[in-house]
Amino acid sequence: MSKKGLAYFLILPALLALLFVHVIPMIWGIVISFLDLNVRNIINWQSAPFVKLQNYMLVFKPGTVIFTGFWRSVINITKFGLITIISGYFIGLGVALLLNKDFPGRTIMRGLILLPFVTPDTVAFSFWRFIFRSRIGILNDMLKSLGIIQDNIIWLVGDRSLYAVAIASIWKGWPLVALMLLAALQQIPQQLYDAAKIDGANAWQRFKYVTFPYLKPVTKTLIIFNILWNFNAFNQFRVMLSENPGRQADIPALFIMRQAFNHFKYGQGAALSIVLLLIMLVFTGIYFYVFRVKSDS
Amino acid sequence: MKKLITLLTILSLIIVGTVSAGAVTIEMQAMGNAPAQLHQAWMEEKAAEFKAETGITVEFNQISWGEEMQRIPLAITTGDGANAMQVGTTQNPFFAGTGGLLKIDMIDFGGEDAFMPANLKSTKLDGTSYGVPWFAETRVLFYNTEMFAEAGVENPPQTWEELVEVGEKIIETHGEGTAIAVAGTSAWDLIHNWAILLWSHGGEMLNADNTEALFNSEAGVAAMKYYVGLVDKGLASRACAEYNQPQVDAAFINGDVAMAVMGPWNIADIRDENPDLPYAVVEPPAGPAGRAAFSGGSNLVIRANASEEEVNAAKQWVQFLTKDEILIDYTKNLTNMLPATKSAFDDPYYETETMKVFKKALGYATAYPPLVEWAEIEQAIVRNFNNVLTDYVNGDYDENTAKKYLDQAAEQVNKILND
Amino acid sequence: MRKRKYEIFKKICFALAIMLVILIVLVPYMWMVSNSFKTNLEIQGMEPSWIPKTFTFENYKRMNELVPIWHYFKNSMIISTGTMILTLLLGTLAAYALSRFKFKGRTPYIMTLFSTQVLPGILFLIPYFVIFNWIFQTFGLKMTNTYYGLIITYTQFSLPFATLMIMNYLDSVPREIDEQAMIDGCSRPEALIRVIIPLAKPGIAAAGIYSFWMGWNEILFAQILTREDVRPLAVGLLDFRQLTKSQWGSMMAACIVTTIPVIILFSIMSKEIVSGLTSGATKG
Repeated sequence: MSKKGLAYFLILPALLALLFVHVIPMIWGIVISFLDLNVRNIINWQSAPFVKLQNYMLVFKPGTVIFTGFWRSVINITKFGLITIISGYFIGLGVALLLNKDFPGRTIMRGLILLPFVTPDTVAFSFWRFIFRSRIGILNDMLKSLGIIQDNIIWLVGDRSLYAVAIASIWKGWPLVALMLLAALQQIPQQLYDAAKIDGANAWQRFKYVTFPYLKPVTKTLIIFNILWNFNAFNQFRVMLSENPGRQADIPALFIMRQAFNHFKYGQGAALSIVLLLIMLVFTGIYFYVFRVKSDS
Repeated sequence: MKKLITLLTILSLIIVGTVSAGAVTIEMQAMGNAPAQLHQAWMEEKAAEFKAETGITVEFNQISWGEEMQRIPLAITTGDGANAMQVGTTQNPFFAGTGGLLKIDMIDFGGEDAFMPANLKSTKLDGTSYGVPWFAETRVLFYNTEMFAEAGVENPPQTWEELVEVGEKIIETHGEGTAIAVAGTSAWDLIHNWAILLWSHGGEMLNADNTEALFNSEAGVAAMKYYVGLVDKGLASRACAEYNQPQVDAAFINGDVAMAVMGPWNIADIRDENPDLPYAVVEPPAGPAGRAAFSGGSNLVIRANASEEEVNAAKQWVQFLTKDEILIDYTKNLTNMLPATKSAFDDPYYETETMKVFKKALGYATAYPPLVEWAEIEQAIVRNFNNVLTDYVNGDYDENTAKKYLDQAAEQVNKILND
Repeated sequence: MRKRKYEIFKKICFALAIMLVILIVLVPYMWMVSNSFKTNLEIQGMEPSWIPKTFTFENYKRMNELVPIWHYFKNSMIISTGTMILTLLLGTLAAYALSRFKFKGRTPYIMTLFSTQVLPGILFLIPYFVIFNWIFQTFGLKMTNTYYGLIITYTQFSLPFATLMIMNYLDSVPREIDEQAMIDGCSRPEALIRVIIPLAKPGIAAAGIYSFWMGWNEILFAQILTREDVRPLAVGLLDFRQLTKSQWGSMMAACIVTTIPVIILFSIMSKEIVSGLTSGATKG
């Protein structure tokens, strides 16, 4: 077998997998998005009537339930994403700088902070839901004994629910940030700091001119990954707020899921998920434009 | 050698025997009509009896009411799921509309006259039945006699106004939020409790020919305000805003609150979990327009999308479950629901004090309109009801909030009706 | 003197900061553990407290009766392990080809692998559901509520990134080693199996853990595409909330018992996961 032949032979299974599990379902999804596929014709999807752009039009027609619900969920997830990415990054950075110092028990600490990251989502967000419960949860009790609040606050309904989910997500997300930044920090040669000190740089200047340039590449990576992860966030909302979190904390994935599997409008759901994909592409596009990341492969 | 051959023959006979006898296996799916373990045990016992009679194996599987709207349509449309299923009477037309349910000829199940009319009506779509009535339920006011006595309340409330007066006495003695528990945003069945209020205030869900929403009338707004008022006045805990119905039930069963509107299945829960709870039941309080009650219940449906053998087996199983002695055993000894066949309802058990209250309430209970679209309508109302409660939690609730969201719900429902 | 005081002050601040981090990490777990030993009555009826007033093991005894936790645990094991094996099998072969050969379509293929990371999971849910149904109606082959159905679904998520992770690792294994092995009389496939894979073990292990972890954590697809028989733990644990009565105590107990093995596994492999994620994400 020729060298090239072998290469294609080795890659063929993965390529076929890509075709069958990614490409074909995506095309299928696009086809469905033009159909009125509902609970009456799902048995035989080919029989669903072709409705042209109707499913898409509802997404862009102000006043419809779909329009309000969907765009509200997009705004919510954006808000959620910004809060979790920014706070998660700075908390992670702070802890990374802390752990970059030498102290007894540092290795154990590094293992310990990984705990939230390796705890399965369902488990972590379940106990966070419990913590946030108004009457039986511990958070209100703690706040009350500290004198911060008088009456129990309801966290999981209304405006606060999005923040409750964000807090839990930050708790689960920062350890990875800290560890990746820590790995980068440890690459910085000590001589650079010494030289900066001799030049009379203060702590902030040392951070700005010595530390940060070393963190830049991994920061870029972290941010793009966090954008992807947080804008696709699903588990925390599903576990902490159930399938229908209410308008203040609804997210696109749950909205689309309900359209398809609770309201049985599969065609509408498919159209919404394609619109969501386009939004995701715009987000990542903006990111790559802002950071001018060159794709060099 | 001879021994070995005999042994092998016997073995193969056993294998062949079990294979042919166990050839048909069907799955039965029901909701939590009774505490899970008791329910499972009862079904297994009856399945064994049924197998001895027919050779058909029945596997039982319990889902929650909250999963109904996701799981059942999936099962009947994809042909992958239980063969015989419990469905809520209000959703039966919707499931029938998917085309995945078996058409039922009532003659096979004892004829139309054998069943209570309300349940029978709910099985029908365009004159054809797609389910067999199983049992009926209604919700009444449960109250804790000890808490009532401690607060110096002698009689249970007969009107919604009295309920507030009684409640105020109770919170004086027992503290804020102890008078009653009500369901909140986590309850898929939020609408049921409000519906009782709506009807007793003289309101209607839809107009007579089911073409227009009427629930945003003055009666509807008053009913909604009353509901939120229970929390606002401190009679119910503010935490109720995040409750679902099981949490309401648990609050009452644990003895934390003095009143709750609950269904007959809770009798079994109390017996199972807190048998010492001193409680009694009374008809739902009356509003300006008199008393009203919610008429619900369940039918048994059969998935059409299956092999003929399975369909026939499921049919036999449903016939078995609706036989008098089985049905009475199920409703009387296990679930405390009200049987949907007239003959089972004649059992003396339904003349006990508690059951009489349920029976009486069921007598004037109102059912939701039997529409294919009802599932969607219900979701639209619950969605907007949630908005009201959410606004309340956020501190945005005022005089006009209830009206605003009911109007919004009405608009959405009218659209569903006219599409 | 003043400087020494300042130094001590700094040290105390540092120690306090470390303590704070430890507290933030551990406090939620303490709440979970504490409640797993409380009776339902205490959880529902009394003021919340850190130390159980009604210490009981009942929750641990009852959890599997309320919800078939061990059955779900087994399902999760089968599905996650299956996903891992399938991903590694396809991924290693593809990664080897990508790392060692220049061929037409290589760059577009790598770019495609990267861009799959942008696709929202929900995009595939409805098509998968429709396709699975169509396969069942047309060929009579059950896809929903089967282990293989879910394994295929999860491989879709894990394969692209796992391939990139392994490819990056292979890139760090010098080509000379392949050539040496072939001079020594190995054929190329032999060289791959006997020499390269053992050398790339850490990278492959990281990719394996990644795909296992993905399968363990997934809720969206599992919730729609499975029922009790095949339902994995991530969704099954939520069953505690569907019961007619809140069962926080038993749910917390089940969370603890099923999480310990996973945490041990991940803690052992934590270094590989982080480095694997870093390399998969930064290079390419």
